[in-house]
Amino acid sequence: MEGDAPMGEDDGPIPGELSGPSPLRHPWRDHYGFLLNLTKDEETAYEQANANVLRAELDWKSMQDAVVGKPWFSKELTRAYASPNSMSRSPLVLASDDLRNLLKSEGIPPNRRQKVWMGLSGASSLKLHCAPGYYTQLRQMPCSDTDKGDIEKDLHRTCASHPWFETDEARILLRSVLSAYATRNPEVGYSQGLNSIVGMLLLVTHADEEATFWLLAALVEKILPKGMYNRNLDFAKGLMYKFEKLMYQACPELQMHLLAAVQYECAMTVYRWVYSLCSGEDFPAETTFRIWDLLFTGFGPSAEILLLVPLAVFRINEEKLLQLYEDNKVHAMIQQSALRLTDANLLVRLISDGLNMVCPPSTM
Amino acid sequence: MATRKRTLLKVIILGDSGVGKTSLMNQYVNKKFSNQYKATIGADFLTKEVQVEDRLVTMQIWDTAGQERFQSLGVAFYRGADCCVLVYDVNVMKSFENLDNWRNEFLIQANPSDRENFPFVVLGNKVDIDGGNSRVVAEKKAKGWCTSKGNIPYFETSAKEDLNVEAAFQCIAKNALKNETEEEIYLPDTIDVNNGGSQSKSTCEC
Repeated sequence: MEGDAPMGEDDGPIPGELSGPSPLRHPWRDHYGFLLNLTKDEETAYEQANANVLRAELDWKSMQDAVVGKPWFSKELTRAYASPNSMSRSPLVLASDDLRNLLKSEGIPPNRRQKVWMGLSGASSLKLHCAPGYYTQLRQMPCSDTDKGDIEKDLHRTCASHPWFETDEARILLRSVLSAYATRNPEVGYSQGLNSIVGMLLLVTHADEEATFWLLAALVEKILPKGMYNRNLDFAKGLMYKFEKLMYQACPELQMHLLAAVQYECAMTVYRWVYSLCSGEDFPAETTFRIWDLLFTGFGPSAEILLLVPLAVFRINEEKLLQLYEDNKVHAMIQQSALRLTDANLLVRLISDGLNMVCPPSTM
Repeated sequence: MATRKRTLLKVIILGDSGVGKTSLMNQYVNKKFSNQYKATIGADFLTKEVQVEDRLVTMQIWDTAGQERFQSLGVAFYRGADCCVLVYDVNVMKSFENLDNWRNEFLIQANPSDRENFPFVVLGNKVDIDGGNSRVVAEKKAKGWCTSKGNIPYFETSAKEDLNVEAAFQCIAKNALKNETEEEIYLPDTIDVNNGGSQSKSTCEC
């Protein structure tokens, strides 16, 4: 299984692998193989995003030694490896300005992501500290009946606009990783949202299920807020309070408008995006991965990064939203705007500015 | 701009994960079916303008998360509901057995003023599957449960085949309207010239 590309052989570009610009087709196929129905303008925006991906690839290639060989990279790695205990959460705060700038201007190129994410998130460290064959054993153990049933219900509705996920191969991999993780971490078990996260990770790792498993483990156990996916969902209870506070700081006028005039419930969008880590085909895949670049490299505290995404989408549309008075129109505008948010640089810049607002650099 | 007042009916759809809540909502509002709707985390909603007898009303349909752990996030949206739709899958016994829990949880969380008469509607979905050969919940059994809970209207539906969906939501709209409170949404620059139509008292034929 390892190393297999997650798509049929003559099925077009392999996700995460560069094959030049994809030919224009209808529906349009993005860099990772998702099929999208786009207007002409949207196609142009996607092509620009693709060009950014290609540029990132070239830039990293030219400084390959610079990245992997540079002292700061090994320093970050050492730090990541220094916390072997999976349950002790030592939030990585990225020190290197070089990497911070790269994350802002172009992100990590698709075919480097697995390596950089595995290293900097501590996923490799988690793996190294387990006995060989740990994952293989785990995936053979049955998870609870409830989790098993819930996983089965979601297999056919994970990354549904990507043809590879209709194949048995994809569903077997999804099932294995989700069920193995439910067994590893019974407090979490299987939570909806993890399905699309694992789906997207499989694209990054070229269907390497073990790497996918460890990246998931690093997310849940090291990067994301403690207990976020636990069955009791305690974490979610404070989430909206935090979000409302951010809205109040960043765009009080819009917040008042949404609360009083429109009576729009931001919560439904916030919960959905936070729990799927902005995946689930709610955003362009590359934009999702640019957000994940920030999470996996410890760009900032994960809860704040995740809340700053909906905040950014609201802010990008602020002027137009102030003209709307019906909640269904507001909802449609927000969903549509996220779906077409190909300008990941803009989003990352807004997140970065937002982090400076909530936790100024001097306190980090 | 013409003066406009909109009567808002809030409808909440509840039921186990995978019974077809999102599909029913989308079939009714958008006349579309896909078996690939993402799992709903938290909640989502769609609105539709509907004619109920002589009144034009806006039905706001709230689709909620089915997975148990996310139910607690859904309850925030129950407030002000005018009707609650309970959905189960006729091919999955557990989803039928859970209707009791869904109903109780709704009554506790939404805390409607008249608990005894709060309008529910029950939908037994996915009757199309396998030509009905895989169904495990008999219509009689479902109807029996509905009768025991104060004559809840019952429909057998298929979101996929668009079977009975329109009829079910017509009934939902009627019942919601009967329960509708005085809460109305005013769009800006509205002058209240007519005070809405008369409240209809008809019962739906179900």
